[in-house]
Amino acid sequence: MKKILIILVVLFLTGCNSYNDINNIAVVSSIGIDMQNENYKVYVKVLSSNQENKSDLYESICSNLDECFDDINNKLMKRLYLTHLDLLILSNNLAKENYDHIFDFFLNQKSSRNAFSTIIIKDFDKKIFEYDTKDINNMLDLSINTTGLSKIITLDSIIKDMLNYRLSYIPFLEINDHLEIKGYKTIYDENKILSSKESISINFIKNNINNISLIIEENNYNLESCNSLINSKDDKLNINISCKYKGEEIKDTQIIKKFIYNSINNFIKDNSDNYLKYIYYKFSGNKKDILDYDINIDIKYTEDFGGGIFE
Amino acid sequence: MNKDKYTPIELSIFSFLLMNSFTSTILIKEFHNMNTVSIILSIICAFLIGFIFLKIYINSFNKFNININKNGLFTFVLKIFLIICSIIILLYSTFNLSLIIKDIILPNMNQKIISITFLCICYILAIKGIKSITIASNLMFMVYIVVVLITFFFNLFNINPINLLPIKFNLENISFYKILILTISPLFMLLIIPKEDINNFQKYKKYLYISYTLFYSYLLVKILFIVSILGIKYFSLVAYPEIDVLKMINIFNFFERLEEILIINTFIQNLITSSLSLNYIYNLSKSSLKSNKWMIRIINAIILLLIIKIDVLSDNLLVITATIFIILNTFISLKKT
Repeated sequence: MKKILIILVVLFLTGCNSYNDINNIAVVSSIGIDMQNENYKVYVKVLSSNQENKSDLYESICSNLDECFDDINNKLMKRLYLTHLDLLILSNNLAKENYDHIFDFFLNQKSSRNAFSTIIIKDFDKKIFEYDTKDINNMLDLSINTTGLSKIITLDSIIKDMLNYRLSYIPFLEINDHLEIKGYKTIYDENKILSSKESISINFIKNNINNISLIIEENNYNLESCNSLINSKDDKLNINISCKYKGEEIKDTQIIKKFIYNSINNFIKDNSDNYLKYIYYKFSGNKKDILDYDINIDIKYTEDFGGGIFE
Repeated sequence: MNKDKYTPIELSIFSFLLMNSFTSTILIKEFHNMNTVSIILSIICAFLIGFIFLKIYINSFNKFNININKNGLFTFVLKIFLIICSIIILLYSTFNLSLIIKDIILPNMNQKIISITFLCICYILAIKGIKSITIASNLMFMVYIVVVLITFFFNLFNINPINLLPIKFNLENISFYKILILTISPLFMLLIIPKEDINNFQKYKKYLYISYTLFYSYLLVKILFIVSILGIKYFSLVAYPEIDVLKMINIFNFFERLEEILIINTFIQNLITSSLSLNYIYNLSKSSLKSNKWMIRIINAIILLLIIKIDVLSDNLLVITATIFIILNTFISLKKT
């Protein structure tokens, strides 16, 4: 009896029952979602089995996302496989309810891991699919360590931010002659494109920046080992930012401090519904229209990052 | 020292895994929409009240075995009820594990085939006896600890303490009944072990209290850890928050997508509970009917039929069953020997 059972277990554990031929599944590398006349226009880039074409692009227009994906499934005559999805490209003209539909759709997909990078593109165009998805992700990865404009934001972190803070910051890109990172776009309760200074500010506030190369009045300032911490004391939010600066003159630190201070200060003043307001609400438990805050910036001057640190 | 005797340390490790039986599947839903203070208070309340049940459990050793082996219609009816309760516990354990495997690893596989395959493994382990289940649980506990440590260390940078805020005291959200019942009830199945088979029962008592305290500390840290990573709203939204935390593990940008391997912890918890419940059913049926071979075959057929037939299981049924199971065990143990 035991032997029969073991044979039975071994037979079932092979996974032959759920066997799917690789030629019968369409591995999706990127998805684009645009709105046209209150209809969704969905683009799906599928890795091709043909060696000449690396990937194929399929599109569909319909009133809801499920219909669009079903339509593409039918066109392909294969099942879409989202586990290897690397990039989700969203159009600039999506409204709050569209984001709800998109998040619902991906949360309901069993093959989707939701850990793929998400971007918003100005003037959505098919041209974006000419770029390799890995190159776009590398570009974002490089951006946070150089210009500090934007980092890779995954779909699950967007959903988390949206649920916890009612807003999320998604990388905003533009195609002119080449693909360019513009910063972030705020979505959900607020729908706004942030300037480059505002994008750097939100990265400082969210502790996304480690190394950054700031360009202030055509001068380049390299900051390293940046760290930010937010706490609340006496009904006041304290934003503490510290960085190490490698430069020739100690007075440069004053210029950097002023730049960061003004950027963050202007960001908070110009964005009434910002991330910090929700953080403050989390700390104090009461929602206030005017945010009391204090920004402390500590730039440590160092001759060499490998050597001693001088104030 | 007799080889077949149970050492206190191995039984306490076994008890730890048994208490963990339903934490990843049913119990975790209990913390949905609770704030940090409510989570802490609920777990502390369950922990403190649980001591009473733990005391009953320890005092029931031997008394349970003597009373259950008595002849009579009343004992027979009690045994039937106990068998039904353990069948339901087994069904839940098998059903929940197969559902997770279907949702995460094998989306195209029929859930019933996963359940039956899992049940075959449980059956092989169950007929080997409780000693074998204990040894298996101890060996698997090592894997369990490694997985827990990997999950913890490689998610340290994903922790956002702001997700644990606001700290608000709200008594309305506190709920400890399900936590208490679902953690303690599988432990009562260990009463089938005769007291004299345990080496140094006093030491086991001491280790059990340590194991119980460690389990509740682990549960508290685990829930707060998941909430601090996901945020309470996302935690309440997703079906398997524990697996969402596993999805975030990225070891040096090299080892990714490890959730399908690290899910083994849920498998271990359910395997141990299912095997023990199956063994418990066989032991009780052997003592109640002389023609035990046929009885076991009938029970196996019933379990198989239930697994094939059941498509949906309400969590409340398990809570009611677990409550009845604890009450029956307590009642049997309180009867004069």
